Amino acid sequence: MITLDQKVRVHPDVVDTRISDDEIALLQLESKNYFSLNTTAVRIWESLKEGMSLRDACRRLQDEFDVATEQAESSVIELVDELARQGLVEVD
Amino acid sequence: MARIIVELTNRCNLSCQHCFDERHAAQGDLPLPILDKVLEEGHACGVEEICFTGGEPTVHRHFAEIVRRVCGRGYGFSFVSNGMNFAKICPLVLRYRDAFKGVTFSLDGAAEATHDKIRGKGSYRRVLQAASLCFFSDISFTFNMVLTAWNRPEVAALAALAERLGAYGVRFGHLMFTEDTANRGLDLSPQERTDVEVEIRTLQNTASVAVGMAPGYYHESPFFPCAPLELDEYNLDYRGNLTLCCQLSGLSGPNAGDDVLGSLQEMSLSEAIKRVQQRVGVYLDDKRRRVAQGDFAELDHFPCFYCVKYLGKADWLKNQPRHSWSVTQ
Repeated sequence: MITLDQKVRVHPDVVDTRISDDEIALLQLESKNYFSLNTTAVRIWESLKEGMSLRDACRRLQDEFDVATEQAESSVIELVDELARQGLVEVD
Repeated sequence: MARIIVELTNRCNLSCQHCFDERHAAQGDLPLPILDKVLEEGHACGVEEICFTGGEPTVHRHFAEIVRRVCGRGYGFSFVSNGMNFAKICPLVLRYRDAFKGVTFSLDGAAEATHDKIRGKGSYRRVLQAASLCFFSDISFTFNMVLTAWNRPEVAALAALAERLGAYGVRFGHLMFTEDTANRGLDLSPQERTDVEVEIRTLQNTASVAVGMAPGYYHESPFFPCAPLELDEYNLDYRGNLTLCCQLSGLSGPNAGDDVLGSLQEMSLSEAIKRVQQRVGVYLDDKRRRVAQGDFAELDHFPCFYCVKYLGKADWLKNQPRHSWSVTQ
């Protein structure tokens, strides 16, 4: 399981596409699989693209969605874990 | 039911290795009054669909207004695009989706490096972004590959990619070769074309997406299928000229204007279409005569090559005696 102290960056083999204000599509170029990110996941993805640490991504979620620390951390870790399994991010 | 292929502009936001140089030299967009003339008379001439090409049609300064007018007059529309502007165009397509027949994205390699070598760095990902937008917006899209020596090994991979990305299908077309493409090593020889056609026909039977082949492939009969020659399709260039063929209209040379049949700046659409019909009749008579005289060579069975020669647009081959298509010159 990924921890909040690990460095995570967007995988170079991913094409992301804004579908709407609250939806982004990801295409993994090697597997050729599409993925869709919902509103919360979009903000986490944008944080990763901006080079934020996972802790800062959690703080952004807390600020913007008015959620508890535990919930924000859980959301970030679960999403990043899934993104890593699908080859959409790289984790140091 | 016929359709008109409208070259909305000669301008393009890319500079591809296989494209005619004059595609990038011109600065002209189709004038809106010419479009209005087409829309006013089109239905009476049996036209029900307008397909936009270019250049890159979406860079026309009034693209949104053009789509609005086309749909307002009850025509269906489709377009061929390099995908660079699709994020901007997508809301327009969704607004007029009842009249929308599909978009064809140029994808000249299954691999990013191949496509970008031909069309420019970053362009592959823009096409895939466009495909993603279509997939998640339920918009029908097709890929089109211009076959060259650089991407010929990726034909099967492109069909597989189209399937994975949810495309309606994939279409392959032979390169309209020029002196520039010859110098760049892009041209396939006649034998290489025949070989790739065999592979494409196999794909047509095995792929789970529609696999199409644009006119230009080898045909046993000299009287090959071609929509403009069957008067199912008319071609309008960005200057407002009805031409015999959309492929040839931008091809330069001493006889560059030989396929221009009528200007909508000077005549009605129905008058220009009559000229096309008459010209097709002459073309077919000429061909019948050549076939009867035994003056129809093996390479003439490649339709576009036959027409390029027929219209005097292949004279540059005389300067390239070692080119694989020079044997019949």
